[in-house]
This record gives sequence, structure tokens and C-alpha cells, in this order.
Amino acid sequence: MRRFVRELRAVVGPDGVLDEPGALVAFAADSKVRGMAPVAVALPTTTVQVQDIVRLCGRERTPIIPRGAGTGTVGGAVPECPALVLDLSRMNRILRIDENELLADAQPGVVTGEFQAAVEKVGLFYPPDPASAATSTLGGNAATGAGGLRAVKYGVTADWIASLEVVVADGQTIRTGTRTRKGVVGYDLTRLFIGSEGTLGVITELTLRLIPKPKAKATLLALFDELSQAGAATVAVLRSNITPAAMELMDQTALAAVQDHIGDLLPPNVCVLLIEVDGDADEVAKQANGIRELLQGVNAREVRVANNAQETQRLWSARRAISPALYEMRAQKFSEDVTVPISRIVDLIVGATKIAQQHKLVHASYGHAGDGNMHVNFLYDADNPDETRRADTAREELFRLTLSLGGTISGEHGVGVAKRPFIAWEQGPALLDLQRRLKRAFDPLNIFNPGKIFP
Amino acid sequence: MTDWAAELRRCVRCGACREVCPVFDLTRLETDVARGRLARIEQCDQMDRFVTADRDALSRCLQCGRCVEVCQSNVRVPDIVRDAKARSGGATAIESSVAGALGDPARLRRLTKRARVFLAWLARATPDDAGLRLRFALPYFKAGRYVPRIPRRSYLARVAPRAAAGQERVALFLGCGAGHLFDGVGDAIDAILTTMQLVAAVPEQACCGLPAWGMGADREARIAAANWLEAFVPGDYDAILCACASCAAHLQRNLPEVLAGDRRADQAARIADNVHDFFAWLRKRNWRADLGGQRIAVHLPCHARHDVRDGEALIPLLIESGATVIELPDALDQACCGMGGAFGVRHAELSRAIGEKKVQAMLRERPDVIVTSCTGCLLQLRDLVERSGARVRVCHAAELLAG
Repeated sequence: MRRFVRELRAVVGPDGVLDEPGALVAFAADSKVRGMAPVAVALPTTTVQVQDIVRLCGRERTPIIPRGAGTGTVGGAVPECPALVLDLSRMNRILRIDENELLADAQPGVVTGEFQAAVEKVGLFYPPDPASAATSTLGGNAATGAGGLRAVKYGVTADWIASLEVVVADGQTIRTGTRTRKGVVGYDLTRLFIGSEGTLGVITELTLRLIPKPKAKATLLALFDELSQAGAATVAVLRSNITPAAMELMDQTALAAVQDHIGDLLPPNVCVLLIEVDGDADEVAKQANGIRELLQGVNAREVRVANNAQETQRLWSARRAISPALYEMRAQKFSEDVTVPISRIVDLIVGATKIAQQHKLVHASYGHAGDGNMHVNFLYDADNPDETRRADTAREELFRLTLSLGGTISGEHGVGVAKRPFIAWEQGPALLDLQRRLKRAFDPLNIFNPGKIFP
Repeated sequence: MTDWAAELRRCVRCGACREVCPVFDLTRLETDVARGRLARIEQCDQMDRFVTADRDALSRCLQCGRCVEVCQSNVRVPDIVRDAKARSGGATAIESSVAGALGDPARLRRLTKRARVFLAWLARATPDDAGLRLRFALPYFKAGRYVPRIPRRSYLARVAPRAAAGQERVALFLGCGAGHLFDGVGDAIDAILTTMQLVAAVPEQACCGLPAWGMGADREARIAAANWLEAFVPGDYDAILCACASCAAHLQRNLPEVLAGDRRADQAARIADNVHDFFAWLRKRNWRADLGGQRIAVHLPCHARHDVRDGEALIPLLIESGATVIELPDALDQACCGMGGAFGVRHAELSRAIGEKKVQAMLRERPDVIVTSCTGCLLQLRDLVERSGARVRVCHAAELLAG
């Protein structure tokens, strides 16, 4: 091990390797799952360094766990066996923004929010917008196949990646995809690497698609008495000819958790649809009016257009604050990013509420209603074994319900460790077997994040 | 007693601290950000053991509190780190003995005198009145670090003890920086008080104990606090004015905890309301200077932003006095100067790189003057401005307001 660390230092320099025990514990967890501390952490700054590290680890048969900002929720970046954590935080340069081609090249450790700000400075727009964007990285977003708030209109991270540079098993680099709008030569390996959770290689550079920044946007707020009414309204909007940029649902529990942010903006005991429309100024006004009329026709207690930038900011920051804020109600939660076909949202919401009631759990539903991706949270106290057991059962029932509605157990967080036991509920043996063989083809030594995704 | 284990568990590991931590910004190390530090502290607590590497790692936190501002759970990171430092014996022998000397009036006087002789031998004067540069590298000071000229007769040596005069009984607590290094600060405050027909009492005094407390040298902090309470007896004054925002923060917020278990803890709690940041006090009395449109860059000390009662009063006070206060982008406006007490000494290069970002942003706006209200920040800002080659006045806000 000493020699391994010495060789790592020779690759990335003395301050690019951590092996002091107290430092390593910082890499034993993501925002949800706790694993074990790695044997060392390397912080490369270049693709060449990553190549050298991959070769070194191949020779030593030391597993490599790529890590971005560690904001994941399923343990994808968490070691389960003695491994090297490859922290890409120092590969954080935006290499170029090509305003003519509407493309940008960036290293994987660039923070998504900083990237968004940088392209917006030149009038461009990178739409993928995971709730963690201020902290999480482009590389992490790609590796987990992150979604986000604006997926209704703009799709997810995967839709905005044109090409990837990846260091693969023998330390070689490959370039997937093209810099063109179209391109069908060979298999679509870009899509394969997206969401592969570090099990197939290490993403060392991303080419991202951009669009001109929408000139205007507006936020609407619709209040409902019942969660299911809000769900029905979501479907009504989606079936209309207006596509909102984001459509987020928050139930009573979620709103109570972020009361500090909301203050006196809302009356008590309502659920809310938070809708953003964007485009040209006149287009935005038209869309906002259209949605308002539509929602008033489907049982909304009240529909408001946010008055000013400050109010808009308050509403959206409240939405982003929900996930951590729920911990103030109970020490632990299962937060499941289950996703159903949009016509089944109401069934999911009603079903989740029933499950929570049956198991006497506090529960919160919020999330990206506009794309069928809800965050169903069951809150529990880990010190209470009975409540923990009930939460476990409720979580499994939620997965069954989601699948019975034709949905998926993960819309955007990934499988990692936390959902690994359930993957076979969703995918058949032949499909799983093929994926395992793919993994072996890409990674014959089984050094890239071994054991993740597939049980 | 605070249950630190419970406080640690409140961290949900969302990683938002990575957005704002000035140390992480430079090192990109998870171990340098609140989430990583808390993981370390939790492990040390579980094993009931802190080793040298842990103490070093803890010393790499500025305790600036930026992470708390973005923390959804409001985890009190600076307090957790401070307490872990104390439990781990985080202060080195030199640090705690310096901190100890600061807390005792007679020892502090002797220390300043020796430092003056020592620095005269070691340093050469810079061309203007800014101060001295060290000629040689010392273990703690990198060669070229600016240090202020230590005055032959400091403000405290000239003035203390002095009794109060005027309609109100106000007392002045200088703090080490204004008392012994930047001797114009006390004179400036006196001049401002003169406009109100007041003379502040200046009892014999030493350090409030914040440097010791911040580095986890609790014994030295307790002694300093006890000495402070002897100098400023509750009930003796209508108001105790602090020249330095960081001292004010310590006296208002920490003193009862410093003296926990001591008979003087009650006394400390009672006096907290009586302690005022000088600028908050001025503003409350609607005092104004005439700053006639000067462009001013203000560095509001982290302690003022987080812990001092009305700690942000300096900015409206300057604006109401006719100055134009330069607005920096939020992230820079709220940034720490990088000094952080012992941090600036132990991690001189990191400290300077952190401050550099803010100072460069200030200088780009071409201010007439840069002010702050903490003498630790002042030390840092002068060093950075001096090194940048810019000829911009950097002073304590009282010196600017006194004209």
C-alpha cells in the first residue's frame, strides 16, 4: 500500500493524494449512504493523470471510485470495499465556450451552477438543473444521469451532452459522440456512459450543448386544497399546448418544512404547483395567462403570478430547500425519486399517501410533477426500530406501486447501492445479464466502481 | 452543555458548504470543507482520540461561518470546530503562551516592548508610513510579510488609566490591535466622542481572550475573560464601547460560555448587553460624520456579520455620513479576509491567497479608502494592499470617521 500511494504521488504530485486516516473518512459517504473510508484519495488535474492512475489501479487491482461533489443520494460514489476514491474536484476548468456552434467543453469537476453562470454571461443557456446544481458537478450529473427541475420542457442532463472523453480500462482515452447535431456512426456510447455511475470508465471531459438564453421568464403559483387536485392539474397543463419550463409540486408537509423560506407568502394547509414559463417577453405573458386560465378551470383555489424577482427567488429557493429541511422533522427519511407516466401521477400521489397512512408514517410528496418524477419521502427516526421497519416496508410498497403503474424506481438519482436490491423488480434476468456482460466487456478487471448498480 | 455529537448529526451532508468555503475554494479538498471536517471530528470523538494530523486539519478552518449561512440545518460549524480544537489540545505551545500573554495587562505590555525591539532588528521600514517588512523568513512569518510598526508609546501606554467624563459614563475597550499596534484608532475614537462632549474611561486592560478561545486554548481564554471582567466591572459604565468588532463579538456572545462553571459566568452574561460595537453605538445615537462623497470599500469582519449585535451598522453609518460604499458581488462582499487569527499565522500562504481575491476585487473598484472594523482584518488588508503596490489608504473605520 505504501508503494501504491508513493506511485500515486508520483502521478499527481504530493498534495494530490490523501492517505491520512482522518482525511479519508470524509470520503466514506455521500449525502445519504454511508460506506467505508477509501484506502487513499487522488485528486488529478488532467486526463493524462487519470490515465496513469487507471493503469496503476489496473496493475494493482485496486478499485476506483470516481467522485464529484459527493451530493449523490444512492451511494454511487461511496466505497464498499478497499478502494481508491478518484476525486475530480480539481478538474474544474471550463475549457471553451463556442458561441457559434453552441457547444462548451468542460472538465468533469466544474460545478454545474458555475457552468450555468458562465454560459449565461455570454447570453447562452445550459438548461439541466438538478436541485443540487449549486454544489454538484457536470461529471457527477453525467455519471448519475441527473435530471432536475427544468426537465418538463428541456429534458435531462443526457439530452445536453454531445460527446464525452472517457478514460477506459486499459488507460486509453476514447471520445464518444460527435460535435454535430446529428450522428449515427456506431453505437451511442455517450448515452451508455451517462448514468453508468462510474462503472464503465472515468469521464474526463464533456462537450455540452447550449441554446440562447430565454429572454424572459415568469413564475406562477397555484394553490390547491388536495394533493390529488394538484396532480390532476399537472396533467391538464401537460395536455395543453403550453409547455412550462418547470412544474413542481409541493405538498403540505414539504411546505411546512420550508416555512422559514416562505414566511407569509402562503396560507396554511395548501399544496402548491410552482410553474415556470420562459421565452420571449410577449410569449411568456401569453403562456402565463393561458396556464392561469387553465388552472382556474380545474379546481385551483387560487392562482398567482409572482410579483417580482424577490418573490420568485423566495419560492424557488424554498423548493430547493425542501430535501434537507425535511430532516428537521425526523432524523432520517427515504426520499425516492420514483417516476411514472404522466397520466398516472394522481395514482402515484394517492397511492403513496395511502401507504404512509397504512404504516402510520409522516410523509412528504414534492418534486418534478411535470415529468412524472415525484420525490416521495417517508420520514422516520432511526432510533425507533419499529418506525424504521415500517418505513422500510412502505418504501418497498412504493416501489411495487410505481412499477404497477408502469413507472421506474429511479427517475434521476440512479441505483448505486441504495436501490440495488430492487433493480430486479424492474428489469428482467435477460436484460440484467446483458448489462453484466457489457460491464465485463468494458471493465474486464472489474476495477471501475465494482459492485454498484447490479446485485 | 452543548451536545456536540447531536449537533454533528444535524449535518445532512448535502455539501452546500462547498459553494462558499474560502479554504475549499482554493484547495478543492473535501477535508477542508465543513462536511469533511465534521466527518473527521465525529470519527475522532468515536475513537476518543485526536492526533497531530487532526489538530492540523482543524487549524485549517477559518471559523468564518460562511458555511453556516448556506446550511439548511444551521449547523454551528465554527463552534463545533472550536470546541474540537479545545478538546484536542489544538493550540501549539507557542500559540497558547502568546494567547496567554495577551490576556494579562502587564505581560502584554512586556510582550509588545520585546516585539518592538525584535522587529526593529529584523525588519526594514517600507517607504511610506505603512509599516515594516520582515527581512528574514521566520518559521511563522514568510519573508516579506508586512507588519505594522509597533508604536514606541502605544495608545494604552499613553492614556490608561483614565476616568470617564461627560453626561454618560462610557468606557473604551481597545483590544490588542488598537491598544498596542494601531495607536491612531484610540485617538480617533476619542475625537469622535469629543464631538459628543464625552470622554471615555480607559481602564488598564489586555486581551478579551478571543484569540485563545478561537484556537481552543480554553484555560488562557478563561484567564483573559476574568481579567477583562476585573477591568470592566458590570454596573460601572452605561456603555462599554469596543474598537474592534471581533472583540465585541466575543464579549457579547462567548463570554458566558468561556466562563462556564465559574462564579463570574453570571457577571459575563449580565455585561453582554452593555458591550457595544462602536459603530453600532454611534449609529443608534444618530451620529454622523461628513465623508463628502468618498468612495469607500468596506470589509465587514465575519464576526460583525454573524455575531455582533447590529454588527452591520457600519455600512449604513458610512452611507448616512455621505460616503459612497462600493458594492462588490455578493460572494466577495461576504468573503472573509483570510486572517482568522492563528490561521493567518499557521497557514500564511492560504490566508493571503484567500484575502487576495477580496482585496483585488476592492482595488478594481478604485476606492479612495478601504476600511474595516476589526484590527485583525486591518492587519491582513494592509499586508495585501501593500504587497499589491496600490497606493490606497487602508484604515480602521474610526480613523476615517474622525476625519
